[in-house]
Amino acid sequence: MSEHAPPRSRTRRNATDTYLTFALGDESFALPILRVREIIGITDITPVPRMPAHVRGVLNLRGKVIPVIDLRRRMGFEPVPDHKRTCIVIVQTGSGAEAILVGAVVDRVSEVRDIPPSQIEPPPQFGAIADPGCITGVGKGGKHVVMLLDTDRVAGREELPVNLKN
Amino acid sequence: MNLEQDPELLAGFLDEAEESLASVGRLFVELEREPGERRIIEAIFRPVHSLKGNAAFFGLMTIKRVAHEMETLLDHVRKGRLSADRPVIDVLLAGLDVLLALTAKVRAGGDDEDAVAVEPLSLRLGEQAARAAGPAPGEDPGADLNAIEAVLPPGDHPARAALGRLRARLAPGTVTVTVPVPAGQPAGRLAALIAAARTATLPEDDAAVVLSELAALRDRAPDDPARSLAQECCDGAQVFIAAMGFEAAGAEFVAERLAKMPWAASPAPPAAVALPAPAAAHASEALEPRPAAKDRSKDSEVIRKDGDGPGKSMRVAETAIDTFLHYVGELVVVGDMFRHLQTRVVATPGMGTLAREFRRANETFAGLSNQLQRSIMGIRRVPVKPLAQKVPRLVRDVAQAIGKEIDSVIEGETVQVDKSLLDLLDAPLTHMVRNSVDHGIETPEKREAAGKPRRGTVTVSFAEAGSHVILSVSDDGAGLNLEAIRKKGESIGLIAPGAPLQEADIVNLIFASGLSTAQKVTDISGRGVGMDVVKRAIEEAGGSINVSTTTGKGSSFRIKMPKGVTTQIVGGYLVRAGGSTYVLPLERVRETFRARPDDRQSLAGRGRCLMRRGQVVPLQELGEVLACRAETWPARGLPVVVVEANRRQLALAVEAVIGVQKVVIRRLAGLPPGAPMLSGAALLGDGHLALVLDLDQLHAAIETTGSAA
Repeated sequence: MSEHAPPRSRTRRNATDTYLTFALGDESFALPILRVREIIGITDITPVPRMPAHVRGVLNLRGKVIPVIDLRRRMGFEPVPDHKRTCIVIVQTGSGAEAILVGAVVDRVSEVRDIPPSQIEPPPQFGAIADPGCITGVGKGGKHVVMLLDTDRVAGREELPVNLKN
Repeated sequence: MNLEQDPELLAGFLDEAEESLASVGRLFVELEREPGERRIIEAIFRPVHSLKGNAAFFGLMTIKRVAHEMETLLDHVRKGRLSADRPVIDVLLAGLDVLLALTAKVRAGGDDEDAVAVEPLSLRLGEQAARAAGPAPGEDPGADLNAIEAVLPPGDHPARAALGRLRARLAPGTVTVTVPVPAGQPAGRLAALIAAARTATLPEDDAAVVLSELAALRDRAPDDPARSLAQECCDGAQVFIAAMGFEAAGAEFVAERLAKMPWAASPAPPAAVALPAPAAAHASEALEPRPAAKDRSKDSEVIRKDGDGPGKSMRVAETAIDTFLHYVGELVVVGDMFRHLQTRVVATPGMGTLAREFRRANETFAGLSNQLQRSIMGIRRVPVKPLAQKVPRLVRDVAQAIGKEIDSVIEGETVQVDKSLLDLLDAPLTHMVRNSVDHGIETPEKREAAGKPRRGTVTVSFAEAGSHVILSVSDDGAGLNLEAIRKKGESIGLIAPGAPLQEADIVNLIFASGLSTAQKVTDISGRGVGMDVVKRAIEEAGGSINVSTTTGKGSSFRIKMPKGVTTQIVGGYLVRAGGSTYVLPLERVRETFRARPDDRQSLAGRGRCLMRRGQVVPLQELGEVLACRAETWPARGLPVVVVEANRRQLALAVEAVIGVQKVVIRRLAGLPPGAPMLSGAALLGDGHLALVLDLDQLHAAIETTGSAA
């Protein structure tokens, strides 16, 4: 991403203002880069029974078992079959001893981008989004607006109760 | 030498201190029962004394001070100036707690200052010490010094100089004692002053000086006669230290140190080190028994054992062993990968020789990794003693708080278990013991009225049974009040009023959350949290708990745990169901057979079952339970695995049985709540994951949802 970056005026970039942007369908979303551990291609995911629909299952990341969520479904989009550009963004949720890695399946990773606080607006009221609380703000400034996501919330660390009996 | 900054030494000291203090607690309880028993007093005295010396070495002056004040009080008891009655024991136990708290504080990186805890304790210790009678006649240390001087060879000898210094320190008026007393308590101040003045004795440093000077002298000796003279002096000095009475433990302390020195390994010194041994040998009947001396010779034996030969041991950080175990776990997975590759190599045409060699290498690898696994498990095994020795103190404290008279009996404290079990069993044991004392055993009056002895007994026993360890806590109390349990269960809606229940079912209600039959909530128990938590913790670790009770005779709680519970490497029984691979814990699998569609029988509205060996076994399709995918039963039937869940049999129909494999279980973290039927995920040899089923939870889920079928 930045290994070939020569010293330039942007070296003073503040990591907390940097985001990884990706697409779900036609819309752009972003996660704070500080929470992103790595990006892997779509791989074998072991389904876990009796989980909400947006939980794809678990995967083996070099010996670690980590849960994988389908971000499309998490955000209330219709599911689509995986394709060439589908990838899994591995993010860290929680911190310290509570830190857990979680994989998020996205349609396509776009770019790493600075979004300073001045370009962030509070989230508007969405109708179509399943869990509006996931969105912490809307980033402007680029070609598209980007919806900034709350990592912990998206990963379901404060999951709403799920009815297992159905 | 800047030893106090060596964290490893400090850690070693803290380990040792905690270990020895832990052993002391129960001794106090014994002492209370047999107040005059010198053996017990000596056994308490020694660790406190060496703690005092070692704490000073690490600059932990508050610990040293507390230990010293406890020692003072103990010395009064030892010399018969004070009887070990309840107030004395109470304050000594309080002192023990403060010492443990201080060592814990130091371990956590803090200092050993804690005026809030220490000052009141100090005052109490002083008050008790002040109750002591004056020194008995003939205990003038000066007289002992004279006796020693007579033993010393004539001439200008360093030992004489040392004796002179000791005498000077003993002379009235020269002893400086600092008495820490809280402000505004004149009476306490007076008491503490009196106590300190009475017990001012020699610091062991002086004794050590004498000994080290003597030893140095002997080492410098130019010829044999001089050497034997020096040796004699050494002996003399040790007699002196021993003769000081108070310093008998000090002598031991010094002797232990000396025994660890290289010179002690030469042929002659053992006799010198265990100096009082000859006396002890003859003393047993003739003289007043000197248990300290007897114990000492035993101890020095232990020291020698530690020093060389096969009994050698070392301290290893727990995390290092855990890491090691983790790697061994990985190795097992690699072994499975190799096995997997082997089957592919064998199946590849034209690989005959290679396949054979590969298999041979593989077998060697598997053998070694098995041995490695076994040996690491062996390393982790420790005696249950640290756990067991907490019991007497716990029983005493709780019993006293509620006015009961209870003895504790410990059995099988040498049984060895995996280290992790000690931590795991700690809370359940505490809870069960408290429960027995608080609920189980009746008040002395009630016991007498029922024709039982006034004193109740709580028995804690550890036993091995094959690959399991059994911990049982029994009491000779009133037994569980089944009627009260039933009423309580009805009142909180656990059971329907008047439901026809078997006795065992009622007993099991005590494991339900919110159920406590204590008439009123006390500090000790009766809050209704506990037995359910205990049960859960034990079952999570693969164990089981059950209760038996006889009205009027007592109850017994029995916990059965696999000895090697920490191993994350388990035997897995792999099956295919609902399109995925699942792992069943092998130890729970009872049998597998093929059931035809018409073997299934319907239980009126309560799902299906199978008849197996004349027993009705409930039948579930695993795929349906897990993935809501009903199997289509082919005419030749489906494999059925009979497992044990919640101590009942359950038949699970699966798509296919894959086989038995060793798997490494990984925790499932980060999933939303709702996966209670899984205990983890297993890494398979081919790199895939399979979910490990928690059969008890699965069974419970089936029960609560009603049969899904």
